[in-house]
Amino acid sequence: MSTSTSALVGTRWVELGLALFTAALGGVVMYGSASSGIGWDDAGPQAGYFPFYIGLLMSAASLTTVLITFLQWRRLSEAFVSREAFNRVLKVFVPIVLFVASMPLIGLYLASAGFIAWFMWRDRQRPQPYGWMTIVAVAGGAALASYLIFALWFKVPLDAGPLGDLAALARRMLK
Amino acid sequence: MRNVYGRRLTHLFAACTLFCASALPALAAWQPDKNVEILVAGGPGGGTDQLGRLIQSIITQHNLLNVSTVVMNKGGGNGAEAFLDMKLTQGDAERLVIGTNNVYLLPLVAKLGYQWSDLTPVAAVAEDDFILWTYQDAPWKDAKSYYEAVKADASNMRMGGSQSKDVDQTLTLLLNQTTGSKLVYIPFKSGSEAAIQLAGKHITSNVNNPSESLSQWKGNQLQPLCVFSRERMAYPEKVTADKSWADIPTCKEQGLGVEQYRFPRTVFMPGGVSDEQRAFYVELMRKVSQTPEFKEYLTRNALVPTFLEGKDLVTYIEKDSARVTPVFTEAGWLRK
Amino acid sequence: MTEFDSLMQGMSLIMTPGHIGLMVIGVLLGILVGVLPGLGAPNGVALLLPLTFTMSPVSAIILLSCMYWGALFGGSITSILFNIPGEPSSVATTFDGYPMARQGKAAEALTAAFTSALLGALVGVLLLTFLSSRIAAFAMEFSSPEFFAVYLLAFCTFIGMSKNPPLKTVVSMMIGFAMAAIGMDTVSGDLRLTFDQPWLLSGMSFEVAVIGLFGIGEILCTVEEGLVFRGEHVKITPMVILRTWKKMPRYWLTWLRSTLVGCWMGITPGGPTAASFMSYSLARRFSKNRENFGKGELEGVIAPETADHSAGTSALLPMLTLGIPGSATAAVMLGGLMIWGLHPGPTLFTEQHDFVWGLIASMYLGNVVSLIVVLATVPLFASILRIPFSIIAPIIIMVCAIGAYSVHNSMFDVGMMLVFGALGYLFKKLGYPIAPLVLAAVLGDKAEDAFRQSMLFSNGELGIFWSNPLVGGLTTAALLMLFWPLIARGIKALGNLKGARVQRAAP
Repeated sequence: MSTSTSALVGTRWVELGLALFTAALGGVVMYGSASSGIGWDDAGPQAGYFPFYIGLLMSAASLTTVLITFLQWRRLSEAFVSREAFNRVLKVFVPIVLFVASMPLIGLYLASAGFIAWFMWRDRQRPQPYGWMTIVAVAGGAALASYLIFALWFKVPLDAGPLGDLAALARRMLK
Repeated sequence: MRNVYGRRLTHLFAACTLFCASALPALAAWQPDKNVEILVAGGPGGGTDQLGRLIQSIITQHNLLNVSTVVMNKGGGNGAEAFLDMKLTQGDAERLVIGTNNVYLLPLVAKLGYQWSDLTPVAAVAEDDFILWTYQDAPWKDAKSYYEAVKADASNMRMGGSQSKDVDQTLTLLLNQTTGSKLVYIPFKSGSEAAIQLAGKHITSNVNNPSESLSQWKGNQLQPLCVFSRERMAYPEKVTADKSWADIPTCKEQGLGVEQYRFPRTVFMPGGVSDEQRAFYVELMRKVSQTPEFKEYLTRNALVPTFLEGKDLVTYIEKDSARVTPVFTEAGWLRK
Repeated sequence: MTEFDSLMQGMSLIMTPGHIGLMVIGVLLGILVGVLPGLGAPNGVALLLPLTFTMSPVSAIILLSCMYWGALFGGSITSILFNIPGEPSSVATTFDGYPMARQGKAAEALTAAFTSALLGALVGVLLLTFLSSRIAAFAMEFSSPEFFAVYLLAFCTFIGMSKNPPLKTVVSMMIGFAMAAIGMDTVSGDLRLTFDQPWLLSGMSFEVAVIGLFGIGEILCTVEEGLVFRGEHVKITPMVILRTWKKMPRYWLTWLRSTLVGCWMGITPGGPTAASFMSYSLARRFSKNRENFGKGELEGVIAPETADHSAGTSALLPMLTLGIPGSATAAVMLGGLMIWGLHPGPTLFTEQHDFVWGLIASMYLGNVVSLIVVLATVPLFASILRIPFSIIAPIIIMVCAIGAYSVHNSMFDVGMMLVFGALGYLFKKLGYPIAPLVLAAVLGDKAEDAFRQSMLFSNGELGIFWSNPLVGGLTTAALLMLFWPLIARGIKALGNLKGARVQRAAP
């Protein structure tokens, strides 16, 4: 019990991490705009003028946040997220990452169908798990619907991966 | 479930390889067998976008292709996004990109990672004239007196145009060179924006293409001063009550020194395609440009009917690049 | 001929079964496009364009404009039900619409949103009908300094009224500005912040940011709390609709203010997104229920929705009369007009009488048709909330991924969506506001362009922002809005001082 609800990480660490990240981002923006000229010439501000100060403000505000975090170090000790809750988040986030990573490899339809099917199969909280018929119907149906709506109807060329090659070949064979 | 999914996948791959092996027989004359993607090197609503969508509608209405076409806007970086995208799909003969002279001028001024020679030129289907415009009841009555006023005192005069380091600004610089004036150029997002700014008397002139200022001319808000062309324009039908495109004097007549300045509407393919494939699209574009719809489009926008392909097109591109390079060098735009 | 006669003529032109059928189809397609994130109204209209080449211009514009109305209505559905704005302009609707849905008041929120949207749109159409030529003349007065002042006003209103921690607001807003700066810079013609990476050329699209920050971020927050979408109680019945309608008249002032903000931002090209943010901030500032904003306040739904739609409608005014689009969708329609052989501009109203008045008439009818269709489909959308989380969540994620992909047809954007999703989760947990990021990403580069164009006009003199009454008034108003909290406190302190003196003097 104590392990499942224990704090994984204190809010102060996350606060610190995010602030340092945005501070670094500001640094990147400043560095990037330096090459476009950050001055103010007779034709008004140069191309890098605004981006430079945007980056500067971003960094300055982030570093102040870092400072405040240190000042309130003790008060910010409460848990950012419990181990259990974080596990729940990871259980969703990691599959999303895998889903996105697999999209260019196996095409959007297969990846989506697989993703939905995995999500449904994994759901054990239900008193009655989904039957494989339901899973296949929902996953396939969603992929089919996205094909109909996006690719066919609105002509958004989605990357179909191997399925698309197959369809093209089949069409050529029929000809 | 994971296993079923995995197995399905292997089956697919197996099936795919099988098909690939059996589907090799060569076809006689080359034809696209996938949907043809038409990339537009400009945002939705602009001149390039209109041409792209017009070509698509003509292809559909006249059944010029036996596959369907998809138009996509890739206007990032003044169109560079579309050209880079073409470069990445080398050898893919089911893609076209519609652009202007930006396809070969952009790499001169910005570090973009492509050269126009990475792509295959298909055709130039029309050319746009440039006209010097001012607002309706301006104190100067012709181009000559306008530039005299500019030379005398340009502090309250402004030239507007679309984008920076692009055709409009290049022409302004050329004019500054030949007339020895110092007119400040203000870049706006589009030609129509520059037209409204001129109609509102916020700027004193712009160098819009005919179609960009047509409705303001008709509505008596703008008036043309001269056209940057060797001969007068070829459209004698009246646009306003008493004037037609052909009544506009040439800038040469007005003594501005820039003889001719136009930009082409170009169609390119990715690099690494065969001559047969290129020839197919040259023929397609020729057919498109001969339809009544296309001719109507030319008349409506007062474009110059031009059709260039092959060697002529390459010569045109080289000549045009050579002409602007010194201007770019002097302005300090040329990429080191 | 008076405007009224022309309108009646237009009405008789479009009152055919064929045209009404086109309206319903357009609205249905629009709702679909609006509901799917990423596939916004501009894309939808662009994709339908080829279909219209063979139609008569009047039929074509009816189809396209009705799709636009449908998309504007549809965008708020997902904002309220899932906290995922289907359109950037419905981001502000999530602030109070989603909390209402979580309290089981989704039907009420949807009814209020749709009804105020219709009212907002109708005012926009009335303007277009009776004042178009005068407004066109007024819009011509606007140049770069005025544009900048309008954007400044939008920003200052939003910041001055914000209640979030200032440092975190600044960070969020700067991220938005930095996103807007990536890519080609209009004024110098140089590439900025692209680090020679081709995928940064076209900039970072804020549609992708919105999908990630809201869509993916929301799902992560939901699973962390171990919750599923709580929408079991959603039932839209005629009773709920009537009850909400009965409540709405008491917000007439909010409605009026939002309409004004919306029309103003639509005509001066601030656009619907800025209008909805500005109107939300003003409503919060001047509401009696200030404390309840962000926690499910009906007024917080009415204000942005009204402004969004009146801006969306009046954005068509500069498009038709001047040929400059007030919104992205208007830009696509403008291209369509040209292809059909019409030249928008000062002469359109006289040369293409039937077309213009057919369009205006169809705007009245189309918006009413939209309201009916959208109210009829609410039960359908509400029933989505009853689908188990383990089915609806992956489907939402899939739709988000496809949406992010379709913005630029690039896989990179799908990856960016993930990054923004993680960022959205952290932002929500640590109390960073997301709205300033969206607003800055939408308006940032436009404001910068306008500023630098003004500097080219004035040879670098800042005085140009006070060079005439119009721009001077706008700039001053913007500064007033920015320092409003200070000013309000000052006035209050003065009042107290006086009150105290009076009290002392009294006995």
